[in-house]
Amino acid sequence: MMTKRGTRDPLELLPLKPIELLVLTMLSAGDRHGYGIRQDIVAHTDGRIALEAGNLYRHIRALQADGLVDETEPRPVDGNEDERRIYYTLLPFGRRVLAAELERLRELMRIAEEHRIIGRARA
Amino acid sequence: MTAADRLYRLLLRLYPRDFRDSYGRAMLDFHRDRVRAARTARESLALLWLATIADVLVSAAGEWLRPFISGDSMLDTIGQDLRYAVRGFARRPAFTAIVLATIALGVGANAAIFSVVNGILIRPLPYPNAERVFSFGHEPPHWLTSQPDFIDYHAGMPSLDGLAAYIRGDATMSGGAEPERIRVSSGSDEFFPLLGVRPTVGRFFSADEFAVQRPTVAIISYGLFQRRFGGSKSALGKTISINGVPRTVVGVMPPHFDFPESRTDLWLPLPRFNPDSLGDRTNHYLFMVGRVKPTATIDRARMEAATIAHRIVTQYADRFDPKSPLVPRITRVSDTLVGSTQPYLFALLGAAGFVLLIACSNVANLLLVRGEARQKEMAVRSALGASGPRLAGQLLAESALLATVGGALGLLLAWLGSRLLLRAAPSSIPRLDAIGIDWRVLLFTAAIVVATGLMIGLVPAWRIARGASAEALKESGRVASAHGATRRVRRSLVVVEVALAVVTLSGAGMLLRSLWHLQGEDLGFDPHGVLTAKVALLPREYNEGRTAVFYSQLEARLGALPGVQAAGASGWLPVVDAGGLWGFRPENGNYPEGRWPSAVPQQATPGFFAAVGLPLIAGRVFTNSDVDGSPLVAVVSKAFAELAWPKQGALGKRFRLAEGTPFITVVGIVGDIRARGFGDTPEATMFFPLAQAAKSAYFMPRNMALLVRTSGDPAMLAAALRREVRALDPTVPVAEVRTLEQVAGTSVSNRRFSTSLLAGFAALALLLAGIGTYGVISYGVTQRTFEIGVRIALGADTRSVLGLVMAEGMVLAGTGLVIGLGTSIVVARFIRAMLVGVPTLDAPSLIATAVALIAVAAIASGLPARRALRVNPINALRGA
Repeated sequence: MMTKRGTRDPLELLPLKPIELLVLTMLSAGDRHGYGIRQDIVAHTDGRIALEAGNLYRHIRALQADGLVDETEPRPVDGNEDERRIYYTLLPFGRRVLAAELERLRELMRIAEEHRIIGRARA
Repeated sequence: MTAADRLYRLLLRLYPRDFRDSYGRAMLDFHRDRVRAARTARESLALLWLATIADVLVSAAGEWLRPFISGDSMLDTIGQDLRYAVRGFARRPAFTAIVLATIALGVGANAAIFSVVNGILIRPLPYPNAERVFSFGHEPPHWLTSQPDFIDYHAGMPSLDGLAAYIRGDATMSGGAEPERIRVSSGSDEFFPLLGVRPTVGRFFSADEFAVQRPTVAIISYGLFQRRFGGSKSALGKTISINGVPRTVVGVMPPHFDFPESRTDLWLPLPRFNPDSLGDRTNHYLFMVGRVKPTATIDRARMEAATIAHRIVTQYADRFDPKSPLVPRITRVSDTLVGSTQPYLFALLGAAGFVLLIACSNVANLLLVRGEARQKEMAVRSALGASGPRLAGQLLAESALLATVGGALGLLLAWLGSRLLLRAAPSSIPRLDAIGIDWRVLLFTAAIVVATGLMIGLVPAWRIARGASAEALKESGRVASAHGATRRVRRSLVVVEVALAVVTLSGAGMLLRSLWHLQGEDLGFDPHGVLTAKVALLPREYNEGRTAVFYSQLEARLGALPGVQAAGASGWLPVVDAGGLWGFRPENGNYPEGRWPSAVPQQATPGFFAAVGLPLIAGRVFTNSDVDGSPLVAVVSKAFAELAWPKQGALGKRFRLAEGTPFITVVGIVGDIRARGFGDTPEATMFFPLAQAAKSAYFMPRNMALLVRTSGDPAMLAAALRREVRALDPTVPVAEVRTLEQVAGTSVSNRRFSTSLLAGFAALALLLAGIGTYGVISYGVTQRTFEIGVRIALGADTRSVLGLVMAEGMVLAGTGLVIGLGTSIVVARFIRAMLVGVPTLDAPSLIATAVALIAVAAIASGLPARRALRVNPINALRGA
């Protein structure tokens, strides 16, 4: 998966789509299987975004193709040997892209704060 | 794997292969987790599936289109619309369920009926070049062909690729656990080659197998191959005993090969005719099947055949009555197989189409109502910059989603429905085994789903995209009334629905009346309380004497059973076996030499007349003393007496069948019977005592139909009947045990089956039209709560409020009724061919339709009217 991208500039992939950003953010906390990603997103958006399988995996396909995430061999869920799932992991290049995207958002945020669209976040 | 898993796997097939290979497993896991979580949380699984199907459709389409579309923006838009639609529907589960159920019913009815039409009419026949294969016979009264005719046709028609003669009949196959009655066809040498079907296993008959007079080889059907030999190829070369003659199996025909009949089990070679001793020119007993050359047409073949027939009639003028010349009848095999079923299928397809249109009107109406409730939402979105087309696209996405999910449910219904149909269908409907869901049915269903999506979506989309103006925003919180135009659209939809329901109802009504008319016809015999069965004796074991004794003893044994009023046997059974037609020569009858009349022969035992319920008009029926050696006697039907000796009285008169055969004295006259069942015209019939048949009527049949009349339930006698036959001879097979009512019913079973389906559709149409009317009127009451409140406050009494609401419903229904009745009169002309005893303008059907419709309309507007009465003026005026 890393073939064509080892040396690519993360900025070329920006901006990320909202769902991609969410997926990468959730994976930054650790490997997840597909349904786990959905549940994390549900939890962090108060249930406003609940992805269905097809929609989610199309985004995963795009992220995988761009070398941002990769899949693992099926591994047990919570140590339960009968329940094996494919997990997705954030690749180093993916982490750089995510960081670049968040930097871009921070820049936007700064502008929004200056224009008093939103209040200044307290540190 | 659970059913849910299987369904999801099926859905996964919609994705491109590489995507499925990469993510299919993970997605299935995902879906399982999702279902499990929904179960735990007690969430609605229906909504889960709705969301899932929508998701699969969108994302699969996205994956397929990905290579062609740079950037996903358009798809994203559609996807966004669909997801938005799913959320909208999820918030209104009742609304969604009603809409989906309506669409599923409409689509399901169409897909189910289409799967039948497809199986019977559209799927190609299982022979190559079926359009060039025709069956070839003669117009009545000859029907079939004689040996010399066949030779003449075979030699004299240059446009033909091949012409074969065949005969068909029953035989006893023994050697298994129980002797079995099977259907057999013997065909001449060109029979199989011209049909162009090769045996799946083994070979055709070879040329020398047609040269011997007693062929010893047989080709078996796929069904018999499975049943008797378990589908093992070792069947080839095995010997089976047919009517006591051993025959070697040399081939097995493929499944679905059903020529000449769908239940044919066995084919034998028909020995080549000996040119030196051809049968009589008037002995018409051969069926023919032929194929025209690719360069010729069926019409050419018809002309050639007519020329030959004309030559035969001129050359043998002494043999043919000028009133009934030999007229060839050539029909495509496909038409012969399905001809009579065709108009019913089209009528059913038409009715199903009407049901779909009504369902669509209902759904469109619901969407319009919902659209009005969403005026504000639309106006806000429009103000925020959504263009008219963008909003219309959103609405179209919603209706497409509804149509697709409803259609998928409908397909499921159709699959179940076609199975039920198959179980309920009478076996006389041709090509039943070809009925099922194949790519043609799927394509058809997809087409009607698209049409449904457009029908239910276009009107609301158009209305809302235009109406979503600043107007709505400006309106006060209370939506005063539906926009006039939208309201007109909705009322017109109801009128259309009602009109369609009226057409369906009146059509079904006329067909129902035709069926009743037919079933009310006097058959000439009494089919109630009679059990029938077929028995067959082997000619090798039963000579004429033994046969007569066997049936006489059997008649006595059956007659002695408790509850039995009469028992008898006959050479053929009315309705299911049409008798043949024999020429006869009445003594002193007014017929010129050589132009003799003909009548249907029937061999009967003494008890037959009482058992079948044929009334004796004059003289006597047979007795046990009418045996071989006593004077030859016959009983004839009224029509026979009129035909042979008009206005002279037939009792005591004599006739014979041919020159050189003995004279037979008429001892009794019985009533006429409709031998081919309801709708048949009675034919002249002559009855011969079975015991004398070898002398008086050419031969003695070994295979007879038993008839046992009882005071109780005839079906209860089946076991006793089998027991009595077994007591006489355990090797004699008893087959086709059923009541005479069932037998008589087979003559109308196709009609009854399709008529009851049609009545079902009509009921569905009426119900949907009623729901549609209710919806519009009920919504009208909600809209006019304020107005009604004012009226009540101003002192309007119950009657005027009721009248206000009811009048609206009745006007709609009345308009639809008038339009529908007018249309019915036009439609009736198309179904005229299926009507029996009912005029094209059938007042009782039309009146019944009108009454049913007005009753439903009264209920549909009465319920909302009651609600209007309960309007509390204070709340209404306060603007609750």
